[in-house]
Amino acid sequence: MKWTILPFVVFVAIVVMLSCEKSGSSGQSLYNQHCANCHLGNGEGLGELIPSIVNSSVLATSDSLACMIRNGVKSENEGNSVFEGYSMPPNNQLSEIEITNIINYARGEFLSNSQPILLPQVKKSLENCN
Amino acid sequence: MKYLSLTFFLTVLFFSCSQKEELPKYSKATIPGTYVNQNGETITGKDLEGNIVVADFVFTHCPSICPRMAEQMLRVQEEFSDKDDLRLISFSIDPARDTVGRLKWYTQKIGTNDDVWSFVRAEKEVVRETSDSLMVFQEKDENAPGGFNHASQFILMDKDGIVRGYYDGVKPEDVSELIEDIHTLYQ
Repeated sequence: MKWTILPFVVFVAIVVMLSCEKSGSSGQSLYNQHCANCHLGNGEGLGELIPSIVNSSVLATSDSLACMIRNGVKSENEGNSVFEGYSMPPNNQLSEIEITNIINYARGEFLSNSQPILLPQVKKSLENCN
Repeated sequence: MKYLSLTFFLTVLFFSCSQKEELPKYSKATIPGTYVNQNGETITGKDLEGNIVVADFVFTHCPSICPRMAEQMLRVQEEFSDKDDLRLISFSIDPARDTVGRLKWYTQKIGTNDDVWSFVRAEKEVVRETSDSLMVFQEKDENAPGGFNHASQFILMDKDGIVRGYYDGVKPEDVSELIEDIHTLYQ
């Protein structure tokens, strides 16, 4: 009798492991992986070189935010050898769900009054990127 | 007599706990050649003598770890803003793009105190010799972000130019240890 439940126990263990792995692509870990090198863990950016996203209007309201994350943003003075700023690199590999998770993490973490974004809104934004 | 011994034991224990271990001495740091900083001033290893120095190797087009390193170096700059014998020095590993004008623009953007923190450039052979001397990895790699691979280490040197510690410049807890070790050197 004892051994008959073994497959069930193994199955539960695998499900738990897989669900733990899935939480690795939460908004926080995605932010740390794709955004924090520049905007930093606290969202404050670096001086005048990399903009802060703390209480930023772009993070709070911009319809183009999903497109910015997906396609990147060209730096100011692009091509100028002295004054070229940092470009925000494209993240073509991120899925719509992952972009939704990043935005919701960043809004929750860096906005004082945050409204979550829903997946259909992100999908619609991405369909209308310039 | 019993209480006296106990008091003595506790006193010894207190003082042994409150004194931090002496920092290790790794090697004598050699900074060869002549560098130029963001203000066009020349800097040599001799100019750094008599100062506590924290060094790293970066480049201004670095899109990966350098902003995190700069954030942490700014912490060090701020913590010791009252000291006039602490120097921070960032060696550019990309001298072809990091001209003096570029270094000036970059340092103004991130908010360095020019009296404390120098971003410097030299011929790439000189930079190679320096990074080898300080045992810090850096290499050109077209597949790496920005075109270079490099370690994120901060190197701490004492006033005699002896390397006293290596710290991961992207880890706030490592840089907290660096700050603590600098305080130890000042004691």
